[in-house]
Amino acid sequence: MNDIREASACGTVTVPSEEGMLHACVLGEFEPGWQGHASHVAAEHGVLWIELGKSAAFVGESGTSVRDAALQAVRSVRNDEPGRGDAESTAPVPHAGLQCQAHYAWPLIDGAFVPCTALARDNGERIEVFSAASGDPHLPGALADATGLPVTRFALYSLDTAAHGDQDATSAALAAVALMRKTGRSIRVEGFLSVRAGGSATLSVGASLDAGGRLLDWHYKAAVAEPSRATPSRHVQSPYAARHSTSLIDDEQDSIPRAAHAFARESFVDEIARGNRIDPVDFRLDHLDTVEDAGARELIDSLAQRAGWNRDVRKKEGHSALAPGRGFAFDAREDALDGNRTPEYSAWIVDLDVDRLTGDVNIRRVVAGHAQGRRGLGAIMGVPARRIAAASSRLLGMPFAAEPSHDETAGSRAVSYRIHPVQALANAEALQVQVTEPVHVPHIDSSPAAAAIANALYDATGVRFRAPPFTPERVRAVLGGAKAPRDAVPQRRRRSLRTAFAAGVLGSLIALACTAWPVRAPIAPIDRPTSSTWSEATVARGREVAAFGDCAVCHTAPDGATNAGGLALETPFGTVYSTNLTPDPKTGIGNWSFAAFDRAMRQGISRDGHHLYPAFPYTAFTKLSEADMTALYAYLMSQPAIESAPPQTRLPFPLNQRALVAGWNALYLKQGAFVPNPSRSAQWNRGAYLVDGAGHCSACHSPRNALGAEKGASRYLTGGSAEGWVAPSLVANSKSPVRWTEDALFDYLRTGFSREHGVAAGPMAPVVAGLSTLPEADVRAMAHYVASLSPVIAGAAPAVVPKADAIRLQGLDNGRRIFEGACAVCHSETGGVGNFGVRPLLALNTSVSEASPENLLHVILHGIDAPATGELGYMPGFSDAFDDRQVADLASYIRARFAPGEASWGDLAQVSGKVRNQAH
Amino acid sequence: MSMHAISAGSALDVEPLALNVNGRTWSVEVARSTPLLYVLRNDFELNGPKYGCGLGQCGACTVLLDGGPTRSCVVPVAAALGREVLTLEGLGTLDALHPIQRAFIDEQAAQCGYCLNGMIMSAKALLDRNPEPDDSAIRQALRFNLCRCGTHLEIVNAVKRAAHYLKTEPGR
Repeated sequence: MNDIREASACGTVTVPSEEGMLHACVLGEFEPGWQGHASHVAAEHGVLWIELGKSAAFVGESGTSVRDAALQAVRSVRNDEPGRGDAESTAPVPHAGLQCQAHYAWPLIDGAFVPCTALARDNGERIEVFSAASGDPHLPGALADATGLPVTRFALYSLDTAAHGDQDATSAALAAVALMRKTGRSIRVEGFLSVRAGGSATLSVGASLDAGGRLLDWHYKAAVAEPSRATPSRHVQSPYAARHSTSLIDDEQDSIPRAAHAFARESFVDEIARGNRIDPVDFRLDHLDTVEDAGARELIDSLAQRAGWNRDVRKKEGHSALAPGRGFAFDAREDALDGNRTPEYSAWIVDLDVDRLTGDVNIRRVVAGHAQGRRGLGAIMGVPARRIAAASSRLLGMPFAAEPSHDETAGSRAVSYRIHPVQALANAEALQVQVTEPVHVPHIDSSPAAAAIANALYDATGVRFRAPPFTPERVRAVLGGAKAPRDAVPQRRRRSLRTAFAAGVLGSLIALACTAWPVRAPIAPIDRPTSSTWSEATVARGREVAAFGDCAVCHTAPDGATNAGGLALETPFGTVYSTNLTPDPKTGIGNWSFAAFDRAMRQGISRDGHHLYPAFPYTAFTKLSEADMTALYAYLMSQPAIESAPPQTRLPFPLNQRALVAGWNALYLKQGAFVPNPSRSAQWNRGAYLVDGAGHCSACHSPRNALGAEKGASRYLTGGSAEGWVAPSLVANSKSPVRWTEDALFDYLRTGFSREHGVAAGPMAPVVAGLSTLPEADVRAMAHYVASLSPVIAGAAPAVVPKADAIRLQGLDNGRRIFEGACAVCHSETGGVGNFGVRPLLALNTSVSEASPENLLHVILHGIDAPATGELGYMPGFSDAFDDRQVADLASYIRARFAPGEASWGDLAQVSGKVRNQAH
Repeated sequence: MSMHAISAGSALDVEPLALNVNGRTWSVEVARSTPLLYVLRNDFELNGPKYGCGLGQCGACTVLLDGGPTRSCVVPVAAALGREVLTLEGLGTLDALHPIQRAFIDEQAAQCGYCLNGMIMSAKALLDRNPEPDDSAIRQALRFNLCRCGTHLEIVNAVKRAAHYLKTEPGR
């Protein structure tokens, strides 16, 4: 056991490439009678049929063909069985008035395809098994039993797949090894299919409401298909308050899963809420106690805010066959045996499209969260991507993948996911899974998934689906659509293109409408919203957005209160003073509604209708997602209000004519939230969203034109300026002696120091100070995106630091003496004597090789008295020790010695005089 | 000589700070931007570290911050929060000199003695990371500690002797 752990503790093993691997799809509970039929199907698809005791598998050279074969075999076996059919349970049941009742069905053995990758390979020395079950303590024993080999022969690696920790994952790993030994080749198990469905459970709910829409009675009955005569065994509690409630569970074997009860209850609540024209989320909140269920309410509130539940952002589709829908479901669990246990809640919001013709259900987004505790949750846990993918795949009968939305931090906190069918990805990409050490992942319930999808289906089609799974065949049958072509994938691609086109047209219409109104109407003031309006999770998220956006850096005056405004920003057009962002109604934004805030952030128009100067980077903030914008508003509104009127910005004529900014906006403001690029990874999109949106990196790092607008396209991030400093290029034309890599960018952004480039100073220091507190995965994503902008030149040798030319150093003795006396103690080539803090080597320092000397002069004259992080150390400034001529001598020497490949700087004494007088 | 870079913070911005110096916790109310040297000398009366150039060049003010040599005249007191500060006073006492101090006396390495705090503290940092330094390692480590009296050879000998003492007196 121990050496297996050791073997798996290695994190750098590469997952075997698909090349030369056989693909397999495993069928469970195989019966000998099906052998002839299965062999026939195998021959038809050009794959092998291999029996493994109780189970069997289709094995072939391509993943698609083995899955198709397995699906066909299972479908035909199922059709042979009499008495199957679910038309009855999925048919709409009419209900009227306040008394209502509905019946649901839940298949007890899930018949759907379960994607659960496992790989087995014999490298001669050991049998390597990559699976989601590597943390299962029984797996090594089971492998040894099944093969008769000693436990030490196996090396187990963890593969982050849809079926993590499930029984399915263990079966897949065992099957992979068995098939590998039978075929003598490496095996990749694509998934698992159960051949026989084991009946279903019947779930009946009835309820009556009073005239005010509150629950009076609630009756629930659940039974396995063939009811036994035993007395009801369990009580299943509904989390919703009703005056009178009963439940009868006839399930001696305990075979009805929690998810089934949740499915029936949540579907039914949706039915009665919609039947009474009450918003389904409001209906649930109305029936959850404000004190006892505060935790549940906070979770639901947060997710609804996150998903924009009340905002109907759905666009009209030109393609009438495609119906969008949105559904919500909630589940609470509390062990009735022990009253002291903390309750756990989970909730899902699903957005999907239904193709009425083909019956295809395409989930677009899932917002799902999980929380514990009666009240004051603080933070909400997300649901791991693989759980979401696994639940979606099971319920829809086809493999889906989930990845965090571009405005989510990856990891356990992400709550919003983009969902796409696995076929849409190249197979190679699907294989790029994280190999991690085996870890115990706490089981997070996906019980609300089925009802959330069913409710969304109702929202989309008006038809109530009362039994999972929601496979295309069944959806099509219920909707009465035409027979779909077998291959549904190209359809889906066409559809998404059309959607993108429609969105584009809509976007440009909005832009046209904007330029048509040069005068903007004020938005009515509101009373300051109380901070309890938002959940703590939303406020916490807003705090992060504010940190990414560095609001406080510009909106806080020296020695002033945070965000109370008044910092003087020197621009080429004059001094602009930042405004008060605290929720003070008189001098701040306390009486701004969300609509006013959103307009200011996206269009640069103040609540009273006047234009804000583009020193405020609304051209970047316009890219923020709806959810982040809401969270940011929530955060700012819940901070202490500070009454402080910052100085008025007075620019000279004609710049004081703020209406002119409307014309500027028409030229340079590109409105519209960030649109992820589907051909790039989730990490790349997250990085791009942060860099271009909240992070507004291009505000400093892109050059600006004569009108102060950022130059885009080929000049994007090619270097600009900020507060008298040079903001270096972030792309290929960078002057940096060593190419910036993703790791170097990450170190720099996270700690303020990169060994190969130098230290963050000047206006970049507060940026790093903010980033050092934000989730590491996000900073990594930013580094990943920025690094992707500079193509790697194949075969390029690592930069060699050129040696100083003795001839060029002639005549620079003055500078050399100053350097030896003042600088060399820390910055000599040997790294000085190891003083406290980091000591960047000047030969690698970007500021020494930049085209202009401002950054170097800033640091020489003013030092670094406020480092980005505590580890960086301090540098004294020498403005009182050296005059401009001496500074010029020193800078000339540093340039000649440490950047011998670059031309000398001119007018150093003059620039030094300018920088000396600049505020730093 | 003025302390431009370091006195940048507002003088009124005073708050109680807790510092760990020579294994003891000290409390002081000063602005966070005050140079560490000023606090050590004026508030804690630890006059081992000397005020020399005030620009981090001569090394007379050297103290160890978490074991690393630090020019305390150019480091604000805020940098020492949460770190261990070691000054000359933390090495030994008159009755029980630290081997490095004893070696400097035995080699008669002082003329005026103003630089010796920096020499000894830098030697301490050197010997902590390299117990058997050769001549060039010693010269490199002390290269940026300025001495105007010219006892350089005695100082190098003192560091070598200190290495010997430390090796042969394992109790220290």
